[in-house]
Amino acid sequence: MKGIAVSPGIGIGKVFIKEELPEVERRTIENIENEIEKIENVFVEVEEDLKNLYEEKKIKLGEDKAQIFKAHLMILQDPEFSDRIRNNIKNEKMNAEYANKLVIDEFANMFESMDDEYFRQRALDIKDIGIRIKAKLLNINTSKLSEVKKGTIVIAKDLTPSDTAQLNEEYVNAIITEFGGETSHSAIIANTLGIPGVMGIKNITNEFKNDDLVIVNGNDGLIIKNPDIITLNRYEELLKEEKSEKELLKEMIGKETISLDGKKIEISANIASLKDIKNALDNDAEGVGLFRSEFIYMENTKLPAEEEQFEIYREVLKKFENKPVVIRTMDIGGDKEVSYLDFEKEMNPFLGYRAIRYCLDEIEVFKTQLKALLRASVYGKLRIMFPMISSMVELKKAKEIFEECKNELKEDNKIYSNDIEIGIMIEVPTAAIMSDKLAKEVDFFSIGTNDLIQYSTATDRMNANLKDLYTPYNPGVLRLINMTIENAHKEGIWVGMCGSVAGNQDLIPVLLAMGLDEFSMAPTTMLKSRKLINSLNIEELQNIKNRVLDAADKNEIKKILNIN
Amino acid sequence: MTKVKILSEHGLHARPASLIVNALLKYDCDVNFIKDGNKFNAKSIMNIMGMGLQNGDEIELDITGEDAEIVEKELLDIFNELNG
Repeated sequence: MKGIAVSPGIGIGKVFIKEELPEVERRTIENIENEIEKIENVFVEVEEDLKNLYEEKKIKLGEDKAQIFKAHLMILQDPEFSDRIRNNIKNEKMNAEYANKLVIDEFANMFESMDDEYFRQRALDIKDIGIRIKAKLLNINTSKLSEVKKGTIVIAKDLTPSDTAQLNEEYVNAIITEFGGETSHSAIIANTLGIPGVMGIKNITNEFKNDDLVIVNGNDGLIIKNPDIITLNRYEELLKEEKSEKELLKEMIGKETISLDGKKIEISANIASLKDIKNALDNDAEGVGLFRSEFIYMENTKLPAEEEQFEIYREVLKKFENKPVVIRTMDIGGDKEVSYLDFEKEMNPFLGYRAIRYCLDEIEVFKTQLKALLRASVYGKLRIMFPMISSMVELKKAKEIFEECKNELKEDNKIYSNDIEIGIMIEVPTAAIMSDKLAKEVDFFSIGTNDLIQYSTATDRMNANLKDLYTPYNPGVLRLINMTIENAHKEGIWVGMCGSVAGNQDLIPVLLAMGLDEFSMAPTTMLKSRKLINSLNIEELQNIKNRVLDAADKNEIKKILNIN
Repeated sequence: MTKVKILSEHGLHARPASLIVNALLKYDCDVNFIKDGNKFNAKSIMNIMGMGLQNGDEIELDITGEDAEIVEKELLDIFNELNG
């Protein structure tokens, strides 16, 4: 079985399936008093449970994580909430289960339809309370996530906030869910807690029963049910390596990244939201090499206003103090859709109306973002990067609009920093080929390998049938990268890389030899990469680099680099 | 009726809403917030949050029953502090 890998690492353990409660149906009841008594008792019991959970979690996990149960308690004690349930029972002669469902749905819908993301999230809390009440009413003792044994793999349709708050990361070795993807609530929690996670597997709760043995590979999304002894041994070995490696890597925190022959390298993090900052800093990021600002647009229900964006950018810059932060202007289109922007359906969205192409057309949208960035720039070390540049014309126009924004802010007496570096992504082959000219116009390049491979090999990276063709080991791709770095250095600007190749341990030596200055990657691979770079001598790698650039195909390159 | 303007950057979120509810639960009187002609029970955290109050919104306080004056003063203090 295979799903979406959302949180890295290997987990081996026994299955614990989170039970789902049955749907409730409306019944007409005879004895109203009985029904009222039933719900009153449940209110008291749930209240007790929540109080206990709060006290327990406060001791174990701290006030911050326990706070959610206090919030739930407050909802439960809300007179408006319990009265509505009581009234439904009394006036409609409705069974308590259904009365609860109606009120929960009503409040949850109300919150879900609100503009503010914060309030929309509260709908989850309300549903959570509803489930607690329902379980008690149905007298189903939901097996408790908080009481799982050591070495558990949690399998669920989905995990609610109070589910995840109850997870003990010491006992849960991995999470598998039917719903959710990389940006879902459960995925974010799994990442923060460092629990391996795989999501998006249909019918997963029916595939397993409690206590089945399972291997979860959060690195590639693979799930192995009841593995044979050989497979099990292999994964246990991998897990052991992973653990000792993690321990060893902690000693890399606080060190600088510098090759044996003395070249200082910057290892920075790819992030998509404010929530990712902690993980990046915990892994000692030397900056942010790619802040995917499009997520601000994707997580919204309307175009985010200047003020809202400003606050987000200011927060990132402040958190990273004086470390550099590269914010990429919005890269919408392609595989990233935004519901409220009316993009026409295209035959080839990756080749279509996206990123800077859209921004240069919808200038007001672009200006809103640039002004928010400019105003935030005084709070740290900002670098702005334009995506999908394919020609000088686009770059010049983008820079022109940027200057306009500065002038308009000046007229409004708003301040901005004069030290903002401006750069572009090199992800379109023509940009790589024209990098000698483009380098004269910017302060830096960042090579986006995911798209550069896709465009230069003419291979749709979403098409699984083409995965052999979609490879960074295509010598043509590596030559484009090398050429870009050489051209940039001739003009005295620095070059980074923010695609997934930057964290590829087999290619880091080659990139280093080519002269790459900054490597931006997922926070979890940063320390490993620092350790590798600190053990390499760039001078000595020149020979390997030359052989790689002279190779005829990917097989030859893999042989040179000793990759199976 | 007394009017209050919300002057807090993020509107009235869970924490301020819970401060208000906690303060009011001590009293027996009825307290409603009125916005655009709609009444909301101020002792209900979900009702208050459900108003979706944003920075700059104006509401009226409708307090009836015992200790109405004391409650009004306490509420105004809370709003002042939140707005400060």
